Amino acid sequence: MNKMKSWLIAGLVFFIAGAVICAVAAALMGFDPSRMELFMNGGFIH
Amino acid sequence: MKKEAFLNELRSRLSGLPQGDLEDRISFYAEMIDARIEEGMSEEDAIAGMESVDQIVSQIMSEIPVSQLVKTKVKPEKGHKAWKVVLLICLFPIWFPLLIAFGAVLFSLLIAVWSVIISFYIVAGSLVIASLACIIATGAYFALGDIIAGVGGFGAIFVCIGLSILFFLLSIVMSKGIVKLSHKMLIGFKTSFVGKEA
Repeated sequence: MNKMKSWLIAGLVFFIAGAVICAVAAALMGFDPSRMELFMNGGFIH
Repeated sequence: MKKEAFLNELRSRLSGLPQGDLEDRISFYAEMIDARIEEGMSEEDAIAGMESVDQIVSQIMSEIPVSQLVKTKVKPEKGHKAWKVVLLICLFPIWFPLLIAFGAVLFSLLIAVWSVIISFYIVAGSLVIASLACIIATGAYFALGDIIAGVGGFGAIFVCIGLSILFFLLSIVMSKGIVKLSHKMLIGFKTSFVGKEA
Protein backbone atom coordinates (compact mmCIF):
# COMPACT_ATOMS: atom_id res chain seq x y z
CA MET A 1 0.00 0.00 0.00
CA ASN A 2 2.88 2.35 0.83
CA LYS A 3 4.45 1.57 -2.54
CA MET A 4 1.18 2.55 -4.25
CA LYS A 5 1.04 5.74 -2.21
CA SER A 6 4.57 6.73 -3.22
CA TRP A 7 3.77 6.04 -6.90
CA LEU A 8 0.61 8.17 -6.56
CA ILE A 9 2.61 11.02 -5.07
CA ALA A 10 5.28 10.65 -7.78
CA GLY A 11 2.59 10.76 -10.51
CA LEU A 12 0.96 13.85 -9.02
CA VAL A 13 4.32 15.61 -8.54
CA PHE A 14 5.31 14.92 -12.18
CA PHE A 15 1.91 16.06 -13.46
CA ILE A 16 1.82 19.29 -11.42
CA ALA A 17 5.47 20.11 -12.17
CA GLY A 18 4.83 19.53 -15.90
CA ALA A 19 1.69 21.68 -15.84
CA VAL A 20 3.60 24.51 -14.09
CA ILE A 21 6.46 24.32 -16.63
CA CYS A 22 3.95 24.34 -19.51
CA ALA A 23 2.19 27.37 -17.98
CA VAL A 24 5.54 29.18 -17.68
CA ALA A 25 6.34 28.37 -21.32
CA ALA A 26 2.89 29.61 -22.39
CA ALA A 27 3.43 32.81 -20.41
CA LEU A 28 6.83 33.27 -22.07
CA MET A 29 5.11 32.89 -25.44
CA GLY A 30 2.93 35.76 -24.31
CA PHE A 31 -0.14 33.52 -24.47
CA ASP A 32 -0.02 34.06 -28.24
CA PRO A 33 -2.61 31.60 -29.64
CA SER A 34 -1.00 31.36 -33.08
CA ARG A 35 2.38 30.42 -31.58
CA MET A 36 0.90 28.02 -29.07
CA GLU A 37 -1.17 26.38 -31.80
CA LEU A 38 2.00 25.85 -33.80
CA PHE A 39 3.58 24.31 -30.71
CA MET A 40 0.58 22.07 -30.02
CA ASN A 41 0.57 20.86 -33.63
CA GLY A 42 4.16 19.83 -33.30
CA GLY A 43 5.18 22.39 -35.90
CA PHE A 44 8.52 23.12 -34.28
CA ILE A 45 10.21 24.05 -37.57
CA HIS A 46 9.14 27.64 -37.96
CA MET B 1 -18.03 -20.51 22.58
CA LYS B 2 -17.93 -24.24 23.36
CA LYS B 3 -16.54 -26.85 20.98
CA GLU B 4 -19.93 -28.45 20.31
CA ALA B 5 -21.58 -25.10 19.56
CA PHE B 6 -18.74 -24.14 17.23
CA LEU B 7 -18.87 -27.43 15.34
CA ASN B 8 -22.68 -27.36 15.16
CA GLU B 9 -22.64 -23.87 13.69
CA LEU B 10 -20.00 -24.92 11.18
CA ARG B 11 -22.01 -28.03 10.31
CA SER B 12 -25.20 -26.04 9.74
CA ARG B 13 -23.38 -23.46 7.58
CA LEU B 14 -21.84 -26.22 5.46
CA SER B 15 -24.90 -28.46 5.34
CA GLY B 16 -25.10 -28.34 1.52
CA LEU B 17 -21.74 -30.07 1.09
CA PRO B 18 -21.51 -33.78 0.19
CA GLN B 19 -21.91 -35.80 3.41
CA GLY B 20 -18.43 -37.39 3.34
CA ASP B 21 -16.75 -34.09 2.60
CA LEU B 22 -18.69 -32.38 5.40
CA GLU B 23 -17.72 -35.04 7.96
CA ASP B 24 -14.04 -34.84 6.93
CA ARG B 25 -13.97 -31.11 7.40
CA ILE B 26 -15.85 -31.16 10.72
CA SER B 27 -13.53 -33.84 12.11
CA PHE B 28 -10.52 -31.81 10.92
CA TYR B 29 -11.63 -28.80 12.96
CA ALA B 30 -12.65 -31.01 15.92
CA GLU B 31 -9.13 -32.51 15.95
CA MET B 32 -7.62 -29.05 15.72
CA ILE B 33 -9.59 -27.92 18.79
CA ASP B 34 -8.68 -31.14 20.67
CA ALA B 35 -4.99 -30.60 19.92
CA ARG B 36 -5.16 -27.09 21.35
CA ILE B 37 -6.96 -28.36 24.47
CA GLU B 38 -4.26 -31.04 24.91
CA GLU B 39 -1.65 -28.29 24.77
CA GLY B 40 -3.27 -26.83 27.89
CA MET B 41 -5.67 -24.26 26.47
CA SER B 42 -9.24 -24.00 27.71
CA GLU B 43 -12.06 -24.91 25.31
CA GLU B 44 -13.09 -21.25 24.91
CA ASP B 45 -9.51 -20.07 24.33
CA ALA B 46 -8.89 -22.83 21.80
CA ILE B 47 -11.92 -21.72 19.78
CA ALA B 48 -11.21 -18.00 20.23
CA GLY B 49 -7.75 -18.58 18.76
CA MET B 50 -9.18 -20.18 15.63
CA GLU B 51 -10.57 -18.49 12.54
CA SER B 52 -14.21 -17.41 12.73
CA VAL B 53 -16.93 -19.64 11.25
CA ASP B 54 -17.43 -17.04 8.47
CA GLN B 55 -13.76 -17.19 7.53
CA ILE B 56 -13.71 -20.99 7.55
CA VAL B 57 -16.87 -21.18 5.39
CA SER B 58 -15.45 -18.64 2.93
CA GLN B 59 -12.15 -20.55 2.77
CA ILE B 60 -13.89 -23.88 2.16
CA MET B 61 -16.16 -22.32 -0.47
CA SER B 62 -13.15 -21.04 -2.41
CA GLU B 63 -11.71 -24.58 -2.50
CA ILE B 64 -14.83 -26.42 -3.71
CA PRO B 65 -15.74 -26.22 -7.43
CA VAL B 66 -19.22 -24.88 -8.32
CA SER B 67 -20.04 -28.03 -10.31
CA GLN B 68 -19.64 -30.20 -7.18
CA LEU B 69 -21.96 -27.94 -5.14
CA VAL B 70 -24.63 -27.84 -7.87
CA LYS B 71 -24.41 -31.62 -8.30
CA THR B 72 -24.87 -32.19 -4.56
CA LYS B 73 -27.78 -29.77 -4.38
CA VAL B 74 -29.59 -31.03 -7.48
CA LYS B 75 -29.07 -34.75 -6.88
CA PRO B 76 -32.03 -36.09 -4.87
CA GLU B 77 -31.51 -38.73 -2.19
CA LYS B 78 -34.16 -41.11 -3.48
CA GLY B 79 -33.87 -40.68 -7.27
CA HIS B 80 -35.72 -38.26 -9.54
CA LYS B 81 -39.50 -38.09 -9.28
CA ALA B 82 -41.33 -38.65 -12.59
CA TRP B 83 -43.39 -35.44 -12.44
CA LYS B 84 -40.24 -33.38 -11.85
CA VAL B 85 -38.58 -34.87 -14.93
CA VAL B 86 -41.72 -34.27 -17.07
CA LEU B 87 -41.97 -30.68 -15.83
CA LEU B 88 -38.28 -30.11 -16.54
CA ILE B 89 -38.68 -31.37 -20.14
CA CYS B 90 -41.94 -29.48 -20.78
CA LEU B 91 -40.52 -26.20 -19.50
CA PHE B 92 -37.24 -26.65 -21.39
CA PRO B 93 -38.19 -24.02 -24.08
CA ILE B 94 -38.61 -21.48 -21.27
CA TRP B 95 -35.79 -22.16 -18.84
CA PHE B 96 -33.09 -22.98 -21.37
CA PRO B 97 -33.25 -19.65 -23.32
CA LEU B 98 -33.46 -17.82 -19.99
CA LEU B 99 -30.37 -19.63 -18.77
CA ILE B 100 -28.52 -18.81 -22.01
CA ALA B 101 -29.63 -15.16 -21.80
CA PHE B 102 -28.49 -14.91 -18.17
CA GLY B 103 -25.11 -16.41 -19.06
CA ALA B 104 -24.76 -14.05 -22.05
CA VAL B 105 -25.59 -11.00 -19.90
CA LEU B 106 -23.02 -12.05 -17.27
CA PHE B 107 -20.41 -12.70 -19.96
CA SER B 108 -21.02 -9.36 -21.73
CA LEU B 109 -20.84 -7.54 -18.38
CA LEU B 110 -17.51 -9.17 -17.69
CA ILE B 111 -16.20 -8.28 -21.16
CA ALA B 112 -17.42 -4.66 -20.79
CA VAL B 113 -15.75 -4.19 -17.40
CA TRP B 114 -12.46 -5.70 -18.56
CA SER B 115 -12.56 -3.63 -21.79
CA VAL B 116 -12.66 -0.45 -19.70
CA ILE B 117 -9.71 -1.66 -17.62
CA ILE B 118 -7.71 -2.69 -20.72
CA SER B 119 -8.43 0.69 -22.33
CA PHE B 120 -6.98 2.37 -19.22
CA TYR B 121 -3.79 0.29 -19.61
CA ILE B 122 -3.65 1.29 -23.31
CA VAL B 123 -4.05 4.99 -22.41
CA ALA B 124 -1.20 4.63 -19.88
CA GLY B 125 0.96 2.93 -22.52
CA SER B 126 0.18 5.61 -25.13
CA LEU B 127 1.16 8.30 -22.61
CA VAL B 128 4.55 6.60 -22.17
CA ILE B 129 4.98 6.69 -25.98
CA ALA B 130 3.83 10.34 -26.00
CA SER B 131 6.45 11.21 -23.36
CA LEU B 132 9.15 9.62 -25.58
CA ALA B 133 7.88 11.68 -28.53
CA CYS B 134 8.00 14.80 -26.34
CA ILE B 135 11.63 14.05 -25.43
CA ILE B 136 12.53 13.95 -29.16
CA ALA B 137 10.50 17.11 -29.89
CA THR B 138 12.04 18.97 -26.94
CA GLY B 139 15.53 18.02 -28.13
CA ALA B 140 14.65 19.34 -31.58
CA TYR B 141 13.27 22.61 -30.18
CA PHE B 142 16.45 23.24 -28.20
CA ALA B 143 18.61 22.22 -31.17
CA LEU B 144 16.77 24.73 -33.37
CA GLY B 145 17.27 27.40 -30.72
CA ASP B 146 13.60 27.80 -29.78
CA ILE B 147 14.17 27.82 -26.03
CA ILE B 148 10.61 28.77 -25.01
CA ALA B 149 9.03 25.98 -27.06
CA GLY B 150 11.72 23.68 -25.63
CA VAL B 151 10.62 24.60 -22.12
CA GLY B 152 7.02 23.87 -23.15
CA GLY B 153 8.10 20.49 -24.50
CA PHE B 154 9.99 19.81 -21.27
CA GLY B 155 6.77 20.47 -19.32
CA ALA B 156 4.85 18.18 -21.67
CA ILE B 157 7.33 15.33 -20.89
CA PHE B 158 6.59 15.73 -17.17
CA VAL B 159 2.82 15.89 -17.75
CA CYS B 160 2.88 12.71 -19.87
CA ILE B 161 5.04 10.79 -17.37
CA GLY B 162 2.82 11.93 -14.45
CA LEU B 163 -0.40 11.00 -16.26
CA SER B 164 0.99 7.61 -17.35
CA ILE B 165 1.92 6.79 -13.72
CA LEU B 166 -1.57 7.83 -12.56
CA PHE B 167 -3.31 5.83 -15.30
CA PHE B 168 -1.19 2.74 -14.58
CA LEU B 169 -2.04 3.03 -10.87
CA LEU B 170 -5.74 3.45 -11.63
CA SER B 171 -5.67 0.42 -13.95
CA ILE B 172 -3.92 -1.73 -11.32
CA VAL B 173 -6.37 -0.67 -8.59
CA MET B 174 -9.35 -1.35 -10.89
CA SER B 175 -8.03 -4.79 -11.95
CA LYS B 176 -7.42 -5.79 -8.33
CA GLY B 177 -10.87 -4.52 -7.35
CA ILE B 178 -12.61 -6.46 -10.11
CA VAL B 179 -10.70 -9.68 -9.29
CA LYS B 180 -11.61 -9.27 -5.59
CA LEU B 181 -15.25 -8.52 -6.43
CA SER B 182 -15.49 -11.51 -8.80
CA HIS B 183 -14.02 -13.76 -6.08
CA LYS B 184 -16.51 -12.44 -3.51
CA MET B 185 -19.41 -12.92 -5.94
CA LEU B 186 -18.28 -16.49 -6.64
CA ILE B 187 -18.03 -17.23 -2.90
CA GLY B 188 -21.49 -15.69 -2.38
CA PHE B 189 -22.90 -17.78 -5.23
CA LYS B 190 -21.35 -20.95 -3.79
CA THR B 191 -22.50 -20.12 -0.26
CA SER B 192 -26.07 -19.81 -1.56
CA PHE B 193 -25.90 -23.55 -2.35
CA VAL B 194 -24.98 -24.56 1.19
CA GLY B 195 -26.29 -23.90 4.65
CA LYS B 196 -29.95 -23.44 3.66
CA GLU B 197 -31.02 -26.20 5.99
CA ALA B 198 -29.63 -24.26 8.97
